[in-house]
Amino acid sequence: MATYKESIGTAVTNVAGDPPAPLEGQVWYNSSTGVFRVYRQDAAGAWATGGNLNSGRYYLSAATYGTQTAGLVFGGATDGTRTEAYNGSNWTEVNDLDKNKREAAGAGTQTSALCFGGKNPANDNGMDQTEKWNGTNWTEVNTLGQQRLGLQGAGASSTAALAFGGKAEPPSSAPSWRAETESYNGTNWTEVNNLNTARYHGAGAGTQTSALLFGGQSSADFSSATELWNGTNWTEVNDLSENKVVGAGCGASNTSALAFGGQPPAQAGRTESWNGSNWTTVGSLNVPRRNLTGAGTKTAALAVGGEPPGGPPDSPTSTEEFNSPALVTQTLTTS
Amino acid sequence: MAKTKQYCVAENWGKGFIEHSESSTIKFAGYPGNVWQVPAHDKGANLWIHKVLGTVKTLAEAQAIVDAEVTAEQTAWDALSDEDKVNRSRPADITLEE
Repeated sequence: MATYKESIGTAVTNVAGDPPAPLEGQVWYNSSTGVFRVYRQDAAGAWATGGNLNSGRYYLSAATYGTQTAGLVFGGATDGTRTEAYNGSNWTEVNDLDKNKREAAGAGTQTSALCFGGKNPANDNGMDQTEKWNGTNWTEVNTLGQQRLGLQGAGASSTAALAFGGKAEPPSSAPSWRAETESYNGTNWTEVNNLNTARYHGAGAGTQTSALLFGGQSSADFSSATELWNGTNWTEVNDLSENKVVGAGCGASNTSALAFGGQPPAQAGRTESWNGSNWTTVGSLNVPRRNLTGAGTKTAALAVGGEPPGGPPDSPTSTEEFNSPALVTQTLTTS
Repeated sequence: MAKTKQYCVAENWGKGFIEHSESSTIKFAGYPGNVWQVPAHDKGANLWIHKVLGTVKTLAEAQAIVDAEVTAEQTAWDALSDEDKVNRSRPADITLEE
């Protein structure tokens, strides 16, 4: 069995009391009381139903930095231009995307979002188009350098986003799944350092300078691999507990993310929480599904749309809201 | 063998249908046809079914509802063009657990 140091990277520290600002998941020995202590969530968190979408769909995208009370979703099959905004209780239809698309990526918030890449349902080709949302309307802006579908996105606004992974269709070179990363500054996309493992239909979280990619598919295999972006390079870090594809993710940074949904079907409701070092399984979705989208943070997330067991052509309208309790310091026991 | 799960039919109306306090103590699984699986012999699950005005179904009844939904979705998938089929996997059969 791996030691604590092998798993976490540091030894358990000896502290006279409790550290003033522990990291989530940190374990230490409190020499004052003679017990081991841990800083963690005091429960696994749970999903509850939220307001239903007006237009049920799958392969949709979201402004991933949105919140549980200010969400935005757009595109998807079978209603690829539709955009809906969430206020914490209800979804409202707002102005459509210019281009019909599915399997695109999203970034930003309800008032400052970006939609990029995707699949053109008219010819199944990958897309390079980018559309910018100002809170009212979508406007086409400069395109990605690499057309692709099933890519992932991260970013806090429509002027600071990251596009990574995906699949070129038709392929520009073999293999068709891509490792390219592109960074958006509000005007142009610039190619930056590649992923270590090219893949598509994974899930992303974070910002332009602090992102995470997890799961996905390259070759015939599904992946549990996780890569961490520090603003310059991607680094392989600890895997998800299971291989997973077409799931969703969200999170504030590369140290705080949530992964949920996806397939294989047996894991379609599984939710895992990332603390910067490891994934921990938390409460499952009530409606297991794949090809959904997500937004928010690891403690207050939205899961929207997707395909339930039974799959398409029907697609659900359901929304779920994840909340996890606050971080607390607890004493470790052997029971 | 005593059953460990029970089924009901209830329409998900959205916010408040399943609350965090319920989801944290009851293991839910939603299926096509508004079929919901929850633990059997569980006070919290029974209270939730009552709250959502769920109609309790036997395993066979719930399976029949799910089968009908999946069959309809499979039939619709079979009628798609080859082009559209490429984009969608055929809905799979679902076997509910006792």
